[in-house]
Amino acid sequence: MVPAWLTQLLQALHLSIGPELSLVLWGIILFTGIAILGQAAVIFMVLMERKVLAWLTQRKGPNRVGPWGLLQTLADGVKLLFKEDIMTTGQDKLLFTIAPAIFFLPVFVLYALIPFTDKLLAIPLPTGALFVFALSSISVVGIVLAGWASNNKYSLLGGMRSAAQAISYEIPLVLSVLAVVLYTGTMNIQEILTAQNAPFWKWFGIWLTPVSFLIFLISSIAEVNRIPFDLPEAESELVSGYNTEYTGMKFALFFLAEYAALFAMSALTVIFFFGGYYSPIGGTLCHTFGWDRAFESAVNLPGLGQLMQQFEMITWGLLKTYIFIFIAMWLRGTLPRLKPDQLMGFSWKFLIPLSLINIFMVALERQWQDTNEVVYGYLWAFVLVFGIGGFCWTMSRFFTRKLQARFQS
Amino acid sequence: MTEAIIFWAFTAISVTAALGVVFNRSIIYSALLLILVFLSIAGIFVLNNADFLAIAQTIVYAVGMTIIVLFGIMFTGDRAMLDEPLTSVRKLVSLVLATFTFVLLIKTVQFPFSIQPASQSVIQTLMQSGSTKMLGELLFSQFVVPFELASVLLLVAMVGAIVLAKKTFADAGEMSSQQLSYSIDSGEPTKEANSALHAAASRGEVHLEEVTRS
Amino acid sequence: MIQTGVDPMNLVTHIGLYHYLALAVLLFSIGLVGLITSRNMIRVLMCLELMLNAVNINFVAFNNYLHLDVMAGQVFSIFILTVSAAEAAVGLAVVIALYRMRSSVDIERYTVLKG
Repeated sequence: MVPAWLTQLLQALHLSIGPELSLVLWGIILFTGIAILGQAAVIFMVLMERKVLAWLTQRKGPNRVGPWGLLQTLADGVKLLFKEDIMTTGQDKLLFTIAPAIFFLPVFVLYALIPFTDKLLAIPLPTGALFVFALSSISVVGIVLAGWASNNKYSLLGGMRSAAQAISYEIPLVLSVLAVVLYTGTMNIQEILTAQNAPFWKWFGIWLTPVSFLIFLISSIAEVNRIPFDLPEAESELVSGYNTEYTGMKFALFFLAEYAALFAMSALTVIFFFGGYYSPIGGTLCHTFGWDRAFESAVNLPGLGQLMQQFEMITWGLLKTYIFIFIAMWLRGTLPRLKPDQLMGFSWKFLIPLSLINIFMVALERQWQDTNEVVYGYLWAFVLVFGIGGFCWTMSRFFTRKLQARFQS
Repeated sequence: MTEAIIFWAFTAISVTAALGVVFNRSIIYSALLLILVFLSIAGIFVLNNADFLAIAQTIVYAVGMTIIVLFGIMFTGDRAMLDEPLTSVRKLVSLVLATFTFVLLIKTVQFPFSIQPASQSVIQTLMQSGSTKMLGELLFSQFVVPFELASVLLLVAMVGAIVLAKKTFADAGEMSSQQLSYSIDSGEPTKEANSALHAAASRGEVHLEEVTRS
Repeated sequence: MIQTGVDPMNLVTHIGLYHYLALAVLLFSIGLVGLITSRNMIRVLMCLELMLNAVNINFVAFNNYLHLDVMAGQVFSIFILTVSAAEAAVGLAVVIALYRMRSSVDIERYTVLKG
């Protein structure tokens, strides 16, 4: 994976103390590049959100600052940079300052684990699929700290609610990915993608487990604290929750980290369920139709075909990721907010039993795949998952009503 | 060589953070330094060919345990934030005891263990796909009974923790007389204990006398 | 001592089994000091977790150096992880319940069984 020129450069400089150094350096170089481009994506997403929400509510978004409002995020950034950094008296200065950093850094590191083409993966890990969720859950600690260090009742409440929500929705998140990992037999993200290198009707989110995909979509939106799971930062209820007391650049860090997490979660949805960077026909279009070889022989440069393929993979990956980001923003503009008890009940009483049943069904499908009865297994699995899932849900609603009635008497 | 650099880095971080956990006055800083300890121990696990265990350690300890401990700190309020110092005799005795334990254990581990290098196939598997597959094979074949028992234990612990930490209701028919007397003994009953006491008095189970304080 | 993988000539650059065991012992003793001398019950629980982590390092290091073919050390480490997580959760629930009784997490105030 490490290109040959890097190892030769290190040897020429007499710096090679082992084979790990070139790996680490290449990882750092790739990660820096991907992180910078990721930040550019985040900056674009801020504007995209406002435009999408405006379009859904029949307004125009920001359109004064540049052509089509493209410089709006730059203007927002400059404004936040120049705002006063307020710290009230009861606050713990150190904790108040490092809480946004604890929230931001693990999300940032996530970009190192997401592949954008088959060669553009900063850190290829054999357990990448699990490590991604370990990293994204470290940022919850930052939220609790931010709520505590603000010396404000509403912030503390918001922080604790957010932590409870995040850990509740992490379980169905990981369990839905577990279904995919169970099917492919590996936690290596690149091998999961290689297994989806097929026409779109064989992608995991469409053919294998659409239930898993839906659970992942819902849980990822809950993990990122977006509407309809917006309670920790609800403006009408908690005065913006854990980031009430934050101004200036620290607020900008929270804000950007949330969009970075949304981008990362959408990228993961695409990777686990929708074929990653492959085109809907499987592989890349330019390789299947021979355009890369034609281009290569026309311009007479040997590496150009590969480069064309890589560009096409990045295009497909980003396109699909932005489709899911658009879906998240669409949900924001359309749905109301869930109450805390509804939120927790939905996760613990509906999503977790459903994802457990789903894992069982995927295991059965895997078994049937070996004996060539896939379609039959899939239909049965679909029916059973929704049947038992619906049963669990109605039972949980029934018992909730009963318990509420008992305690109100 | 790279292993040495990484090992000494993680050792320095974990020992400093552990000392901070024990000796820091503010308990929230102790909890944060504990995250550092857990993360550096996860790094040491990776050095020892235990990458799945490192991720499990991060998820369970560095995230889960920290959130539990932080919630515990925040529920138990401001007065518990700073540790009051102990008598110096006690501190001296504990340091002597810890030094004695340290020396004893260091001498114990200086035993010539015979290191067996692993077989080539195992090393190949570990380098390519990590330790997950081998762990999984063991967990579901040879150690399946402890595995199932561990899951039952987790279920029981979850139910137990919920029951123990459940808030008693303000009209407190739920406090037994034992709980009430325990809280009165200390001289500073909480609001819930107080209201429970008055509720019990109004039910006629307890006889309260008015004490005038001067 | 060569058999433990430790080369006395360069103890710093060659990491053997002994280094990991020494780290585990050091963390264990620090946790022991914290366990005995803390007045705050939550700090006691944190030091207990520190000690359990030191034991985990021990298991994993032995597994790595002595028999890597059978990953029994790591399996047992997973069980220690599980059990200690469960025990910390129950321990903190007990601390919260005690706090409701006496408004304090100071260990010196819970002396009912003394004398």
